[in-house]
Amino acid sequence: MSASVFGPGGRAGLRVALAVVLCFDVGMLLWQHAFHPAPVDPLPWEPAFLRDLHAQTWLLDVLAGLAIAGAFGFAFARKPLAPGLVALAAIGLLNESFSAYISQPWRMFFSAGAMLCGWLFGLVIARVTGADPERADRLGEAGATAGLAATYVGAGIQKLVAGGFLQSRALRAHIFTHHEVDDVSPLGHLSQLVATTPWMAEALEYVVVVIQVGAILYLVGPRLRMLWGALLICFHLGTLVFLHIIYIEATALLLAFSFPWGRLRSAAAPTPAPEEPPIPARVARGVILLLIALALVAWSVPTPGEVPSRVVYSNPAPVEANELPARVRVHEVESLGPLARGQALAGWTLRAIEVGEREALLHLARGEQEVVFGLAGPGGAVERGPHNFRDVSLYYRSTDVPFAEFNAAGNALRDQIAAAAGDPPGAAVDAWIVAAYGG
Amino acid sequence: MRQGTFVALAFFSAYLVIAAGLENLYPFSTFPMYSDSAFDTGARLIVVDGEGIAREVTRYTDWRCPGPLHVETVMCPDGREAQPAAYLAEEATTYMERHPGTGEGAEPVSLVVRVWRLDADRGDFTRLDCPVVECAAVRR
Repeated sequence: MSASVFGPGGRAGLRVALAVVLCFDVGMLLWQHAFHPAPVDPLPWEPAFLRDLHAQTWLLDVLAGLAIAGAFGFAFARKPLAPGLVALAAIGLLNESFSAYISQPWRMFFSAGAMLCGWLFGLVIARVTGADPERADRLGEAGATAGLAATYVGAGIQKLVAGGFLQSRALRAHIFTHHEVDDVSPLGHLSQLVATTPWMAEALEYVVVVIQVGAILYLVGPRLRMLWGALLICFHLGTLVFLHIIYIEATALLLAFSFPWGRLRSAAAPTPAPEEPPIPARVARGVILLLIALALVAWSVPTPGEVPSRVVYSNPAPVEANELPARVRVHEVESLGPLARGQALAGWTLRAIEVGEREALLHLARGEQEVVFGLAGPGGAVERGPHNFRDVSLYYRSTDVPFAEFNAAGNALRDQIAAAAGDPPGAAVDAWIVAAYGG
Repeated sequence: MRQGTFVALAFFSAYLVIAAGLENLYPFSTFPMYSDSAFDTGARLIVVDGEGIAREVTRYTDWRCPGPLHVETVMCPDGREAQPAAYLAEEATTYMERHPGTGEGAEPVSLVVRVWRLDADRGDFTRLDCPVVECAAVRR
């Protein structure tokens, strides 16, 4: 069963819509490259050429030209696969180089990229199965909408797994942070009402998660596609109202792909799409094996700029410190710089020191209580914490222990590290971690 | 299985699995924004005028402030620190830098980080203004 709302024929209009959004993304990326200020404290980024790319204006222009030409070819060429691949690669490089420049992932333009990638996947299947251009378009649409749905389901799963969002405080804190403080419009009053009414905020949080995780229903049938397309657009309107964050591209793509625009001009009854032929077993096996191989590669190679994003809230609320990257070897050491396992710190004991490639975890214990501090210099994570000093991050991970009970221990840690590290202290902290990790 | 269904299911599954492995690489992402922390504090860089009325930074122009602005972390009256959302604070300070003034016709204003500390148990919150710097600016 096809979930498309467009009936038989090709999908040239959808290709044009997607290409227009891709070209918009290219323009926005060029604008961002030109005018976005560099971060005050840039984080390390690998591979370095992505950061260097930002300074090569002519190369950015070439990439933008390739991306636009590719998008144009994807929309209008008889064989859209090759130009679509060119567009995907060029926009990908533009996007990742901008991420490197601002030292954090930049996901605003991923929706259109996911849809283009899905469409190209459909075209590959079409080529392998010998589909005609119209059926190739329908397979492309199937892949593109799968990509779009996956972005929402992924976001919903993240909220379920992490759990932080499903608390009445989360949305309220976001509204207070993002909404203009002097907005006296009806929407401003509505935002204030939600921010100051915990049950209302909590209900909205659950609604968001249901809409996002439920986006898989976007792939089930035409009616559910229209329903869930409308719900997802409502979700975007909600983020605009409450958080002043607008996702123009995703909203435009949902509008284009979710509703049978052609039928609005015609009183004729909808014509169902022709039945798709079954996928040949050997093709299915080959594609599944290829996707499994790609997934294995994705899980085993480091992502460019695999550095933790900066925490922008909290203090002295516990920072959900980034875990040491799972793929990084971690081991326990007896000492780190001036710190030694077993030493006393304001009534607490330094029970263990774990060292990763770029940061260390300091386990403090007092009776049954335990608090874990992350320690990193500028070469590691940049996390906000009440015990940070100069260019050193010393932050504590979420804990049930009240802050006041271990604040003195944090201060003692900070003072000891500061006294031993010299000035500036970050380089020494990095050196301790590198030495301990190497050992 | 029909070809369209196969394409949709295969790419949907592949995207989620590959994104979980890559975390963030165009066009794959797990979109972890707003999910990886339990936030309990809202904070926003704003202006408070002489009458105590709070406004957005962009409601003023011709900014004149002493010295460079440091808004990443500020100390609050309750002895705790506060941090506005980095990118929003950056937008606000960039706006101020791009709209400088001479002080002529300007009114004194306080640049503050307004903080809302949310209480988990009572559903209540405490609002504080954490001072950043005293400036002069012209109301638009």
